[in-house]
Amino acid sequence: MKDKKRAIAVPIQSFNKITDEIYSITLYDQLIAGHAHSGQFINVLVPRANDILWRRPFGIHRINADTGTFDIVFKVVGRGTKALTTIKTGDKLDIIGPLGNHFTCPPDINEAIMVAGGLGIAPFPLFIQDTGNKNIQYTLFYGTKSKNQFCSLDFFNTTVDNRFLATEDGSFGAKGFITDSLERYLKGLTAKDGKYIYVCGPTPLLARVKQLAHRFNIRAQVSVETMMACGFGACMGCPVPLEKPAKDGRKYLLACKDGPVFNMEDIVFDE
Amino acid sequence: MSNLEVKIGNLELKNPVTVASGTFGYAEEFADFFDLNLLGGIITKTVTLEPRHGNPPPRIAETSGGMLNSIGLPNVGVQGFITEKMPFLRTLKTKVIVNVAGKVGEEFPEIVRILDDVDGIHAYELNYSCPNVKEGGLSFSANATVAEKLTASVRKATTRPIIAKLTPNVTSISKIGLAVENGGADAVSAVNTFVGMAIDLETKKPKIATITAGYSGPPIKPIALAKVFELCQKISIPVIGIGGIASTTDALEFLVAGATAIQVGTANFYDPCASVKIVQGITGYCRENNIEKISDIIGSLNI
Repeated sequence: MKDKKRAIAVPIQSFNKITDEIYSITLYDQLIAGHAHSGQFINVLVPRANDILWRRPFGIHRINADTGTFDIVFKVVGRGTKALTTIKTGDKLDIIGPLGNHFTCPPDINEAIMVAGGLGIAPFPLFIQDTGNKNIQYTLFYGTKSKNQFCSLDFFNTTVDNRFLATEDGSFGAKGFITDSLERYLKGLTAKDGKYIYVCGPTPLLARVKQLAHRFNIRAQVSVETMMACGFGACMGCPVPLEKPAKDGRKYLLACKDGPVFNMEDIVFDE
Repeated sequence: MSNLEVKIGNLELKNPVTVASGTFGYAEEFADFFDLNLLGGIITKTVTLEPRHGNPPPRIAETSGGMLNSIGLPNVGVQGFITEKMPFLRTLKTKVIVNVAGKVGEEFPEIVRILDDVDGIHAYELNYSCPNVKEGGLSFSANATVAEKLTASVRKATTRPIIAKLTPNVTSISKIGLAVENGGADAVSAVNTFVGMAIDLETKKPKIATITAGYSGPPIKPIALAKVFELCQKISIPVIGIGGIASTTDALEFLVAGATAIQVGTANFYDPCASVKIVQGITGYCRENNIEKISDIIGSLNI
């Protein structure tokens, strides 16, 4: 079902700094808590400070259907996220959402290989919540720059079957890029049937995973992150280049409307 | 209740609030957010003769309180527009103004002729002033002779009202305004975006793929207001004011400066209800100030 677009002020249930660098916001909204899927996002009107113009998009991280709440996670990367740190529990946050499409599981799936770089972890707890009733083995590859940038590890401890962690500075898990761990893992796989990669993170990681998925002949879905002025298909500022034109002739799809989830083989990453 | 009706040539708008081309899609994108029929009119995203893919990314960048865009007029082409976009637009009970652009001058009357057989279109806005396409674009409204000829050629193609959208990136916007008035335009809309630029210092790359782009948003309002004022002083056809309008106050300032109507643009992106909030705001302003008709405000600048 296509979600009806809505702009709504929702209560901030809690706002916490969960590591030195990562913040988590819990928002109360029964519609999103009840119906949103992994990969979908909200577009947040951050507090109007620092001459900010646009909303900022955040993937839905995790939902709690019982309490009617959901979480987003972020770190301060610019003036938008900086302004977002000034919110307070009990205030309301103006959001548009749920927006966009979501990850899907083919019927023959037996293993979901999740690959996350940094805050690219955002959609994966909800992915597990979405698909937990299926008989899927979950394998997580999660890399960050440094140890204080991991989030929701407790959640993954109890939900994933295999876990590979890496940091670029070696302060936690393996030292190096998480894609190196992924490459070793894919090399060791004997059967490829029913294995699917789901990936979210910075563009260089996506480009590398695309190469690996191609080399090992494993299908992959990717959730992209782009700049957006609106988030709902009006500004056309978030084009995603296609490998070959779509059925209707388009050379670009829009991350907000046609995505943010795409089949990896369909899209081009500009490195 | 105050009378908010305004007239652009023989085009009657129920109120002076419309939405700027390229910021409102083909209206359907906003239909979930509010009752579109509350607006005075809707100006569509630009329609060209052939479909266009638009420019490569990055197409947009946020600046201090504003934004740059170089979208490059992606659209399904005039035939696609008629079959895919018009059925929805035709259901609206507000004025539908189709923005058109040609690669070469001859394409303007050609597109208008094709659209003239289509029901549910109330006027055309001629995009003489897109700063982001290689062909045509800016050049059509940077030269008064060209702008006048082009307007005259479209005038011959239709009896529907035509509105020429002007660029501010010229030495004298009122010269161009006079030229399109002579060419037979029913109104002008002003201003389109200012040519602007931003650079990523880390990579030393321009933040937009086409290097320069159109600058819009609240920071351009004072400059746009001055251009609109200049036009209102110099030309006799109505001026539709555009440029950084994000609030009721902004909209009223343009009316006081002499604009007959206004377009809400960039604000639609962060607040999809910005335009309808301004309709409500103007209604409230007229009520509180005992203004019987909005036309009493238009051009009421006290100097």
